[in-house]
Amino acid sequence: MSDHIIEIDQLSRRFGSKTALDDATIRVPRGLVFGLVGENGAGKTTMIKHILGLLKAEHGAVRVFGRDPVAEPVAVLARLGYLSEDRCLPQWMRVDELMRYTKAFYPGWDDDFATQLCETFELDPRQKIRSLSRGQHVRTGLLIALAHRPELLVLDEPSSGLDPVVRRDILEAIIRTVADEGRTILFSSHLLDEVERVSDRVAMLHQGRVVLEDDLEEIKNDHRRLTLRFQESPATPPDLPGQLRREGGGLEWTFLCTGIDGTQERAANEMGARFVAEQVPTLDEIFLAWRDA
Amino acid sequence: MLERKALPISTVAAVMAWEFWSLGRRRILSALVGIGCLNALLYRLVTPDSGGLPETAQLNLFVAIFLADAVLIALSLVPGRDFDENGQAFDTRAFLLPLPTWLLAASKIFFPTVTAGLMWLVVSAFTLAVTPGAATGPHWPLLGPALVAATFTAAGLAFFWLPLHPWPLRVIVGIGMLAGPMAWTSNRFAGPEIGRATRMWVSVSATELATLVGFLTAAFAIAIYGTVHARRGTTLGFSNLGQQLEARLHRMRQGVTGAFRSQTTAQLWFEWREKGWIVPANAVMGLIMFVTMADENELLPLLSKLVFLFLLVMPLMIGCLMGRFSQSSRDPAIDLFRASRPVSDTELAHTILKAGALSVIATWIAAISALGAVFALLELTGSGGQAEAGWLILGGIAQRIGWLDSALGAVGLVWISWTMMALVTTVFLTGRNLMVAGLVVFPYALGLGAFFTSKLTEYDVNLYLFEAGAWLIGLGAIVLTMVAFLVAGRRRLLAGRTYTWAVGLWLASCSVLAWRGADSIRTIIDSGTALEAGLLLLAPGALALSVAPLALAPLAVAWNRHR
Repeated sequence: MSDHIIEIDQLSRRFGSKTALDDATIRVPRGLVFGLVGENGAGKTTMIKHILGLLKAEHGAVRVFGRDPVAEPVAVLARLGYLSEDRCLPQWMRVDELMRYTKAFYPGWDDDFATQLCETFELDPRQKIRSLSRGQHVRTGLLIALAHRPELLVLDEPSSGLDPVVRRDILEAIIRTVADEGRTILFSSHLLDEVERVSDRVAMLHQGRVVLEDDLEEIKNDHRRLTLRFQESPATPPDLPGQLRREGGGLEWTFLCTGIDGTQERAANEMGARFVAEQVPTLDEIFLAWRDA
Repeated sequence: MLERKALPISTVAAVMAWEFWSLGRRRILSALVGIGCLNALLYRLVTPDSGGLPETAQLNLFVAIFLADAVLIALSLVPGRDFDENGQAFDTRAFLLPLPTWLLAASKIFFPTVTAGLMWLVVSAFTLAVTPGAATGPHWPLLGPALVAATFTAAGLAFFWLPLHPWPLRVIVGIGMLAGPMAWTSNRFAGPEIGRATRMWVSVSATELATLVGFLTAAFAIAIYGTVHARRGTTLGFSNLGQQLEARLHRMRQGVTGAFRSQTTAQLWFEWREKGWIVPANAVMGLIMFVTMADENELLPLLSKLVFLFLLVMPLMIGCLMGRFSQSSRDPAIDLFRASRPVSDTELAHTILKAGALSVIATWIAAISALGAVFALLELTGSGGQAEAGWLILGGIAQRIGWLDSALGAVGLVWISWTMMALVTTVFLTGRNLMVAGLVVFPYALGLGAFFTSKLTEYDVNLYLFEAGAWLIGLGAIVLTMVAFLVAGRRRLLAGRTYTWAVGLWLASCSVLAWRGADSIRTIIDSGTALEAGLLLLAPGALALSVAPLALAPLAVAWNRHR
């Protein structure tokens, strides 16, 4: 059995003249929380739709649980839980009807867990979905995605519509609990601080391309914000090896660099500058730097 | 105190123009072209010089044209953009527009109203232009129907804008609002026989005009009243009563709401609850309205004909409804919720077809029950003669068609309904507007082609083309079905037993047809020409179309679901 629950190889997809995914390759290891980050329109939802088998790969290949989700939709969808960013639940149903209907498709549906989630999420089972607020709608979607205890939980922008308290106290707690049980979570978000708090591994998408994919710890270890002080103002803007971003002017310049080894310090010395600060950047800064690079 | 400024006329005009541009331009223009072609074709078929139809049939066809036009106009003006993505609540974005309530209501009510009237006049003018003989007859609807169409549109749209709760109240108010204009117009339009023109079809008196304008004004006032409440976010009616009723229904349902036996049962429940019930429920309501509105003397013949119309037209409507995943014509693709359920393409497609079949059966039962109830009521009230006449009329229609007078006829009716519903559903299941457009255009093209061919060619050539067409259509249907099963099989969409069922059903229906039509077949074979023998292909081809959806529908869902 492969260690990767999702394998996407050189996936490309165009919609008319717009390239939604461009030669994207990612591997989602089993039992981790995998964060898919990128700005709006970066291709996150398109990638998730390929994982669900709702889009057919134009180029490249997608395997989920080692299977092709287009050729074997039931085998794939029965083992995963999915929460969409759109409010796609049937508006005419009540919450309890939705639970009853969904239960029929998943032999592993856990009634007690469903009831417990319903209470945790403060949902009235008799309420019509049409009358739910945006936040309640997301919680209902989360309920039916979780109650059958899926091997893989796919959350597409789960935070949108949730207030910060619910996001921190419920969503993140659930994500950690599911991950602790050894199951896998793939979730997309443009809220990088949230991704940073819960993810074990991250892939960054920009204009359909995967610009970075690694363990979060590795990413943080491999990036630094370096501040250099020159004795005299350089005539041209200075460069450092592995620099992704450069800011500043005059005597003081700040760089965001990747591939931190001794080369940056040597280059600084050669230019007659010295490091005055070395900080670990946030995921937000790293993402922006990669995007602009 | 707020300063009230007069709204410049240019703003009003801009709002109206925007409504036309954003809501109606494509639908209204398509409807105009569609109605024009339909009318021209049908009128040509029913004029006396077309040579064939008795006067009663002509009148009935006029009524059919009238109804078809009205439905097309209404469909083109349905305020779909104003509903949310599920078509069940208003999109409140309209309320955020910086417009006074009266103008908002006017743009949503008055504009479609005027358009409905104008559409009717344009269509009629077009029809008269392409069929010169029509101008001389008294049958063709012009001014009266244009005004009535406008009135009904106004009343219907005003009703749509009322934020009523709960839904039974909505239904009652809706019936009430339409009942007034309907009762009034039915008295003016109804002649001694349906379709027989009365004065109001061609001219409207000042009193009648004033009455219709009165209806329009009332509708506009109701629309403003509804819009004011909808803008404030308040509902009209009895919210608590609705909740109590729903709670009661919930308790009643709990007894039968255990776990579903299987995925298929769950999906069938889903399809039925979402769309399957709509046509049967509307059929019942429509029949009740009809029975209460119709003139006593005309009730039986009208109802008998209406039921017959139900049996053939409803499967098409149910097909459109069941096959359509999305309310939005811009994005008719399968909805994310269904697409992400762990149900196979085949199971989803076949469940939708099953729900459609159930819907057709429920509609039949509703229609026939209504008819039976009216006849029984007439028997009970001592009007047994009328009831007998009603049954005779129904039997007469069946005999005229020729195959309802036997058990085989009933099977034939089931077969036709299933085939129509399943094929239309399949086309919609593809989720491609182009395919749906093809479904609409193809019969038109076929009809127009046949019409012009018959007019432009000699009799012999005509016959030759007809027989060649029969060859092609029969053979094409068989080849299409075979290819569909082969492709579906190659994609592992079909189980072995589906093939067995499909082939078995096809062979059985062909055998029954051969047995019943042995004499005709022998005559055709004896004629000795290959072309006439080609007619023999038409029947098995048509029968193949009834099993083709078993393979085509899963292919359509797969095409839609995995884009």
